[in-house]
Formats: sequence, C-alpha cells, structure tokens
Amino acid sequence: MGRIISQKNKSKVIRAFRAPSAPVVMSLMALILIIGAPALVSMIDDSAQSEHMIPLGSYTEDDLSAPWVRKMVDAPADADMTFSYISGADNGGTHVFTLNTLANKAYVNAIEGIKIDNSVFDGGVSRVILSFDGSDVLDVRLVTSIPGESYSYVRFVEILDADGVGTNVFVCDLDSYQLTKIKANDLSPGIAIGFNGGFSGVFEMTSETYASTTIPYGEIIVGATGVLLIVCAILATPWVGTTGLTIRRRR
Amino acid sequence: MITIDYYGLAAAAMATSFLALLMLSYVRKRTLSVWHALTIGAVAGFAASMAQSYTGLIDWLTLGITGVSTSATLFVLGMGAMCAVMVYNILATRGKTAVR
Repeated sequence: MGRIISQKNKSKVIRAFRAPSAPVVMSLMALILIIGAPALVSMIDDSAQSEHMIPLGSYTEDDLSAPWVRKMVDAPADADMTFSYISGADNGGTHVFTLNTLANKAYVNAIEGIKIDNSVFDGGVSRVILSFDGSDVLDVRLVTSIPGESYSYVRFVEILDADGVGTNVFVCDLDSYQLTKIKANDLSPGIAIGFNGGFSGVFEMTSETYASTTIPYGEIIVGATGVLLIVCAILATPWVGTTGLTIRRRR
Repeated sequence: MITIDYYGLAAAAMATSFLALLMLSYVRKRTLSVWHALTIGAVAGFAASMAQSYTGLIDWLTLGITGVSTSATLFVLGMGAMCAVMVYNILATRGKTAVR
C-alpha cells in the first residue's frame, strides 16, 4: 500500500510498493510448487471424472491371480476354508467363488488375491465397476504395490439406489497417483473383497472397465515441478542468483 | 490410503524437513532453543500431514523415493536439492538465512 505525504503544494509518493526480497520470493515459490503441484493434480482428478468414457468390457485376469480366504480372528484353526473358484476368463466374464464347507461361511472375513492384469491399465482404463451377486459385500479395495516395496489401496464406492440402499455394485475411479503407480511397474493390482457376516458361501462377480483418453497430466505436472524446484535450488545457492552468476575472486 | 513402511516414513520425514526448513528461513531469531526446534518440527509435521490429506503430497514423494516413476523421482530430487541448499545456507551463514 502506498503512503502519500503532502508537502505544501506538491504531493510526493514516498513508497508505492515494496517488492519482496529474493529469498522471500524463492522460498514462497518453493512452497507453492511443493504444495501446489500435487494439489493441482488432485483438483484436475476431481474435476476430470469424464462422462465420455469408453466401455471396454470385463477386465483381463492376471495369470498369477490366486484367490485366498482371510479368516475371521475367531475362526477355529482346523476350520475347512477351501473353496472352488471359476475364473471369469473361463466363464464368460463371471467369476464364481464357492466355499467347500458352507457351514464355515461365517468365518470368511475377506477374499483377496484376485488380480487384474496390469496391461488393462496400460490400455487407458481408469474406472472399474464390480457387481456382486449371492453375498452381501461390505467393501472392495484395489490394492496396488511396487515390487518389494510399499503397497497402498483405493476403496471402491458402493452405488446406492434411489432409497439410499446399497446395490452390491461398486465403482472405483483411479486417480493420477494410483494410475502412475500401477503403470510404473509390472505388478498387477489385486482386489480385496470384504464381508461383514454377509458371505453366504457363494458369490458371483462381474466386471466392467472404462477408459478415457486423457494425457498423463499428473506425471507431467509433478515432473515439471521437480525440474522447477531444481532450478529454484540452484538460484537459492550463494553462487547463482536471479541477476546472474557470482564469481568470487581470490585476492 | 498409504501404508506405513520405510519409504512412507522417509517421504513423511522429507516433507516435514522441507516445511521446517522453510519455516526456519522466516525465523529472525538467531539462537534457537530445543523448544523452538520442537515447535517448528511439530507445526511442520502437522502441515505435512494436512498436505498429504488434501493433496497426496507424501504419496507422490513415496513413489519418487521408490524410483519407479521418473516424474515423481524428479519431484523428489527437486525437493531434496532445495532441502540441501537450505541446510547449506543455514550452516554457511550460521543460522542467519536459509534461502539467499
């Protein structure tokens, strides 16, 4: 804000605007870049839930897909939890899971290990819809991982009907981070299906995948921000500034 | 949703350190006590967790630290370079400034 001081007949602007110092600008820029880049990607993700998605049918199951049962903590150690599994690849896209000893159905906490082939996401798939029949599913997660490293998961959201009742249909819109993580390595993401006493001993699962044609804006923004940060770091050194290179002469 | 592992912890520590160093560059007081450092660390940690919650900052850093994504690795390199320069400046100027 400027300050105007009147001196008899003439006005004089003492100080109209004081520009922030270079260190302040540099540190603020670094902060904005660090927080702003992922925030921008997140905002674009939220606003880019395109309605113009191309349906690609059922997903392709990974060859290493091997479902297994996660038991309830109170399940007897000798409870028979073996099951039969018919993959969607052999059954027209419908996956069928049947517990061999139906009396033990109450001990089934979750079914994990069903894997979606990684190449599905390389083809541009960013939305997966899973429909269940035969058992009430509590929640579904898509588990992504890096070889020998960390794993993370994204929850599917259950689609509700007009009365707000769950339809046993779950949808997952993958964000830029998850897509980058999946595409960055060859590991196929797994599906974890959780029950809360809703498992009847058998269930069927069908899938739909949708692709949209978008540029990998998340990677572009984050990568470009990294380059800008390196430039900021160079400019923040005592030897290089915004006015040029500083060379110290020896006396 | 990320899981806690060494890479996640390293990413969280990196984000917290970066924010703490930035805060330090605005602190005019030259001699800092342990209590100042603890306060700055706590505020920076809280800011990092908020950044993770709203923007997924630590997710991207974790991806970069594991080295599977080139763009995320560039992001981590840039952040690491800024941290290194700020630490150097603080040591070289004996705590007077972090960015110059």
